[in-house]
Amino acid sequence: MAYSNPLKDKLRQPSDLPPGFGFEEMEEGIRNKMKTPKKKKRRFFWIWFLPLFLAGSTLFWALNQHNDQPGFDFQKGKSGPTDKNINNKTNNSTDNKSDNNVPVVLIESKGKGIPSAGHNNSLLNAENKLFGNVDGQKKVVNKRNPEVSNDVVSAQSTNKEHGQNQHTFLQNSEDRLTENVFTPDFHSTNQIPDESITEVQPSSILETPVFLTGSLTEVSSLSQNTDFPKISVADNPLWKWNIEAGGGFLYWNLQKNQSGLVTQIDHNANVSINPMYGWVAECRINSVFKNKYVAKIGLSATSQFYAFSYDGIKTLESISQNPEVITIETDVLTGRVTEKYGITIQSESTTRRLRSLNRDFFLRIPVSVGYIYTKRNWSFFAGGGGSLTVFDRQYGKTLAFGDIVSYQDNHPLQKTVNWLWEAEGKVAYHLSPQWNVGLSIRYFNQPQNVIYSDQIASKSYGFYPMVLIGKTLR
Amino acid sequence: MVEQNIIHLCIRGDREATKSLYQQCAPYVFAIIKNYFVEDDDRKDAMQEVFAQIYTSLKNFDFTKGTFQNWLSRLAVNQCATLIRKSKKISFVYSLETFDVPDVPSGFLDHLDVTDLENMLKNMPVGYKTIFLLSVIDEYTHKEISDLLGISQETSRSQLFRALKWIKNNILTDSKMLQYGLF
Repeated sequence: MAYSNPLKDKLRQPSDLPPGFGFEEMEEGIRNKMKTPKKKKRRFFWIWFLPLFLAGSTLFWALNQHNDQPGFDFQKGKSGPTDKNINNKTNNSTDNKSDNNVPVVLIESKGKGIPSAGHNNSLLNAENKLFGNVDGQKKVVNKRNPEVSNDVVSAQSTNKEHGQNQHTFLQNSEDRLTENVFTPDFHSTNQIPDESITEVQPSSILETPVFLTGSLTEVSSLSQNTDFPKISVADNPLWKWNIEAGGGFLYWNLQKNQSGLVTQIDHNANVSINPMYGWVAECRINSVFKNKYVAKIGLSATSQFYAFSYDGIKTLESISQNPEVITIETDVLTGRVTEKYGITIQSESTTRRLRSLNRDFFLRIPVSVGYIYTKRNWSFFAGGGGSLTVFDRQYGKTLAFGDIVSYQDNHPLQKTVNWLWEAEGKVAYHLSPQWNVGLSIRYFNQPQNVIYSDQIASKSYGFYPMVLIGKTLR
Repeated sequence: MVEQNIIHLCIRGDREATKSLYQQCAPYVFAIIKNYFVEDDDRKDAMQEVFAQIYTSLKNFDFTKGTFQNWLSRLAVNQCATLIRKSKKISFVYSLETFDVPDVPSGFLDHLDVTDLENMLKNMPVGYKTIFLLSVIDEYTHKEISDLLGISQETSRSQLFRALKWIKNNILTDSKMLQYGLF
């Protein structure tokens, strides 16, 4: 061996080993050294602190923000006194639970008739004036009311049980604030026409989280075998395994104000969903075949806040409890007047505005395959797959079955299982043979949040970047 | 230096291959170790550490990125420096005063023969010797030395300056300096 350095040339000439330095004498010592576990380096330990701090502070901020949010009322169990009225009327035993644990803001509508579809749905809109438990306006008009005004927003209905009688119900312009109609399932009595019940798809979450991640330790690669290390082909093993972990919070929103219109005879509304923020934690294990093909499986947890906004007018029909005069017959010969009694239909038209902060939690098991290209210290991944997702809508309201429903009342929508399709692109920088840090951009479809005769469309697509730390195992 | 096939067999745990690798590399590794350590026990310990590290790190060796000889040399030197740092046998004097370290030309060392060099290293204080070997012989930068030994770059420079000064004062006799034309 010759060196360019003349001093090195002189000093590093291989020489015969002195006695005691043969392989047989050294073998046991070498094996013992190989078995001795090296002290774990904690080179990247500090990386955890930043995301943990950010995630913690964000969560803390978020929780406090809810309480301070001027657009929300977080007092639990707050229910307007008029709730009971409607409960009695509809015999709905679940109504009392309606607004429990749900941040709901109801805004009084001073206008007449159907509110504008262009109403600002932003939760943070300073124009919204909140009225605590003022739950809405209900307009009740009875045919027999002699005070029927000409200034009306009309709602017309037909007595379905007595089809021969058609009545026109006029709505008084001097609206009378009567009852809280934001009760879940209050329509689910027999008084709701069947055709108003529509199939409802599972709702979903709108999310655009960003992950900040870190990793703990770099583990020594020393073999624990008593024999010399048995390693698969060194430079290009057929299979490699690595793990990734990440967590963080949402700060980026690409899908604001998913909105749609409900236009039905008895229901006109503008519904919107405004995703806000959340946090995500995820870990994955990746199997890399021939340094090119990747299969991934993992577990992801997400908590997501979003605002549900509803502006609409709902007309309900109910059968009057007491027989009423529906016809007056006069015998022209005898002059006798006969009153005929019957059952009448009562139409109730309600204008409602609702702001609800919803919170969803969901677990995903993402499974994907893809191709990875490595160039020097960089690797690029593109792939796709799907994820089995278990949604748990912890609290909040949405539009389903033709009306506003509350998740926490053991609603069928509260826990659902969905399959989401997912695409991913990732670029990673390899800090060392074991460690890499990467930026991943995900895109996945989400089920609709609310569906009402296919007209409410809050079809949304998750699209978010995330930073992942990866550790190559073998 | 070492056949690729032997390396692959070593990775798979083949004992004969590991023995063959040891027999081929040990003289060269020993040539490195004997400069850093004087005592036989220390040399044995260092040999075992270096070869343990070699066997466990073979999977990381990439033929396309360099020769096995360079990789082995780097690994052995790093391991020696690590052992010296861990043994706490060296202590560097950290001077609070700031001064510019003049460059001491090391060209005069080229005139020393192997015996002179080995005697010099044998008697040199460990701190000086370590820095001297790392910087002059193994051609590490002061940044690399500072990372390896956990010292500052300034300390590394000043130690090298003192090491060269020590060599001039203690090894080179007047007759040799005259002989080498250093006057």
